[in-house]
Amino acid sequence: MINLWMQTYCRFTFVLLAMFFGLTHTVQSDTLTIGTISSEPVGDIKTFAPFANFLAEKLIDDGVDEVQVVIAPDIKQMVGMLKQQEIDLFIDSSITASIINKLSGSQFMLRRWKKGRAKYRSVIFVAESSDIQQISDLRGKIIAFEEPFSTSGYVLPALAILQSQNQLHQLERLSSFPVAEEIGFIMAYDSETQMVWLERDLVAAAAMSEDDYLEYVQSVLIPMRVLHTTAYVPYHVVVHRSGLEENLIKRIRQVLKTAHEDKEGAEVLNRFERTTKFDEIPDDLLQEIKRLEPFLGDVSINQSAGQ
Amino acid sequence: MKFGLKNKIILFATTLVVSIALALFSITYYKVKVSSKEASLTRLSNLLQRTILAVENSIYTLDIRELRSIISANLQHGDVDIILALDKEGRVLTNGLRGNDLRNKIPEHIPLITKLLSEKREISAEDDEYLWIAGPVILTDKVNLGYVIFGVDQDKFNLSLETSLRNQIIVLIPALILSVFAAFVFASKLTRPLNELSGVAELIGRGDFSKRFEYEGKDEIGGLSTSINRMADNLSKITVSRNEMQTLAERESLLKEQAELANKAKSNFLATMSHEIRTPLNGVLGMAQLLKNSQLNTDQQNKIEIILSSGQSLQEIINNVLDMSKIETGNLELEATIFNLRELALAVTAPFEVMGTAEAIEVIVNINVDQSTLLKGDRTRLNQIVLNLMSNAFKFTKEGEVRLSISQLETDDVDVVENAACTVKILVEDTGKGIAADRVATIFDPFTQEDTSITRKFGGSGLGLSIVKSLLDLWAGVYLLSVRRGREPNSNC
Repeated sequence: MINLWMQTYCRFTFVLLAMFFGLTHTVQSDTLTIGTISSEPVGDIKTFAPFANFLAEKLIDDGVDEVQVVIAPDIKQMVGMLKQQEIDLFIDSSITASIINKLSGSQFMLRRWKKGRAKYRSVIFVAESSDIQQISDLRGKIIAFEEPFSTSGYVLPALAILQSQNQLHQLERLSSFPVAEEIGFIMAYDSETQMVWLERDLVAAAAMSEDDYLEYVQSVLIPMRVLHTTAYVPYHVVVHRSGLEENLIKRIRQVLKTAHEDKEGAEVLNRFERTTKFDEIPDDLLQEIKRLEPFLGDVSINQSAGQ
Repeated sequence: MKFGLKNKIILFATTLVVSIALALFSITYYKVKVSSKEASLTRLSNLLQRTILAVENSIYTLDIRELRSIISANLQHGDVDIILALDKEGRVLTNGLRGNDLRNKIPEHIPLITKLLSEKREISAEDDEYLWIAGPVILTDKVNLGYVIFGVDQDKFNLSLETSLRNQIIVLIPALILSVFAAFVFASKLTRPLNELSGVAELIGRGDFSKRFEYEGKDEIGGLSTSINRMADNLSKITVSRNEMQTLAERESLLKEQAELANKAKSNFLATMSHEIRTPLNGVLGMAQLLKNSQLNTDQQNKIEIILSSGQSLQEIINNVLDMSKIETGNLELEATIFNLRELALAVTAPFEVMGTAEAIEVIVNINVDQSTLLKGDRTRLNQIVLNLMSNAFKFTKEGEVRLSISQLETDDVDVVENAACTVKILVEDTGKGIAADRVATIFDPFTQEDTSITRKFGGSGLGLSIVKSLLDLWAGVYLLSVRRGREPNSNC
């Protein structure tokens, strides 16, 4: 768990960065701004910078002189900047983007194949020897989620639990006792910690992305069993703010969708967290996101966001 | 290639320096290795304890994220290459990285793991790749939460050693080069005068004594140069003497050769002349003998006797000269006939007995060999020897006796007994005046008598004894001259 001092420090830094870039944006109206939510602003700015430069080169004939990167520490700030048109493009996980869209009026634009992955889903799993057979069996027990702003490690499995007519109740510590009729959950802030807790019977279940689970299951201390698998959602997406010029949106879509086709573009994308390409969000995945939208308000994800 | 003193000195100095350098290097290397490892272990132990304190809560709560964060931060310091956090059963919780191949495994490849799990105390061990140190994370005396293991790449220690080695090499290589250079200079300084000295000695060896080696030092080389110079001086003197001696010897040899040639010419001349004289002399004597047998008066008879006597004397001289010439020119050949020694002795002494009667000299002949004793040899020359000895004795004896004794030689000389063909002793003794001691050495030389006055007084050519000696030399015989002046008889044998 990030301590209070660290959270305060990060929040302060992010505000300064956001204010700085926000002011710059208002002075230069022909600057395109890309935003994301992160607790590591410096690292993410470095990660986004080559991609931003690439985009600036491609859009120079479209009246874009510069592409800037803005890191917001949480959804609330990001929503605010999008509403203020201080951020033009937002790149993040699909569930986070869905929440942002709902709050700021921004819209899905393209799917990003971050780390070569087009989509992902989460699994809720228990020890194979456990007598838990369905989600409702977790009532009165504790499930370990990864972290509050994790789509795969918290949002998707939490939504799955909520959709199965169960109530979630967050616990402060492992030693806390869950309410009998509710499923207690605790943030492990680390997928490896989740596994260790479950392996040592400190929690009854854990949830994480299917990919992570399949990796960990190779080195488990005790055999595991998947209790529930969520539907696929796009891994990462690009959304644009409301009110962005249609021609520019069209041009950006064109640039991003063809970026991987030439060597230079492919190389830039690869340096951008091993992105293989941008493409249209398939309808089935888009529909799944939309299906989850009504439940998003029930999940406490209004702190900060991530993958 | 000549491996001279200079190269030997350089090689020796280099070997010495390298040996010392290697010894120093080995000692330093060992000390650095030991002290470095001890210091590292102490430092690692402290770091391990600090890490254990830092991770105990994380291990207690199984907060892998925090645990990984602490270990990752420690790894980033670079002092430790591997850090493993284990649970109380020894299974790996994290290695500080996201990818953890050892997750939930007991790291049995680490040499200290078994001992660590059983003894639950801080221990260290090492293998080829890593130095390991580990300790337990203890909650209470009885509750163990887990373990922390550090692994430090041995290359880190080797790097320290390499640094030490490099520093030593940086010092040693110039020192080595300097020492070799110093050895070179020293060797050059030492061998230069020696080479020059050797050159001088070489010249002396070739016989050139004109060079001297000038060296002002008072060391061993100075002593050696002084000795060699002195030797050259002495050799120079000796060589001069030797040259003079050689010149004298050559001159002597030349003179000897000339003398031999002259002597040979003389002998040839005498032989030729004697032969040429003897032919007409025989004619004279023959005619005088014929004339003597004719009807002559007393005066004529006396005169013809004188002619015959003088002629016979002359013939005798000529014969002696001819014999001596033959002997000296090597033309005299000895005959080998069998004859009776006794008969020979009686035949030779008969005329002297007659002559002794006339001159009151008693001639005594003692022959102590069997009458039948036969000898094989040159009868004529043995007869001549005895005759010459008897004649010589008779000539210089005015009164008393002349004695001829022939007997078996009695000797203890094994060589003589075993090797001599004949062992007969012939002794001629007289009671004459004897020979002066200082003339004994030349009495057997040709044409030599004790005194020139003797020739005038007694006549003779001085060849008699010389012929005796030469004949005995041919026979490899022994002669002995015993001289006693006074009343005791003189003897020749």
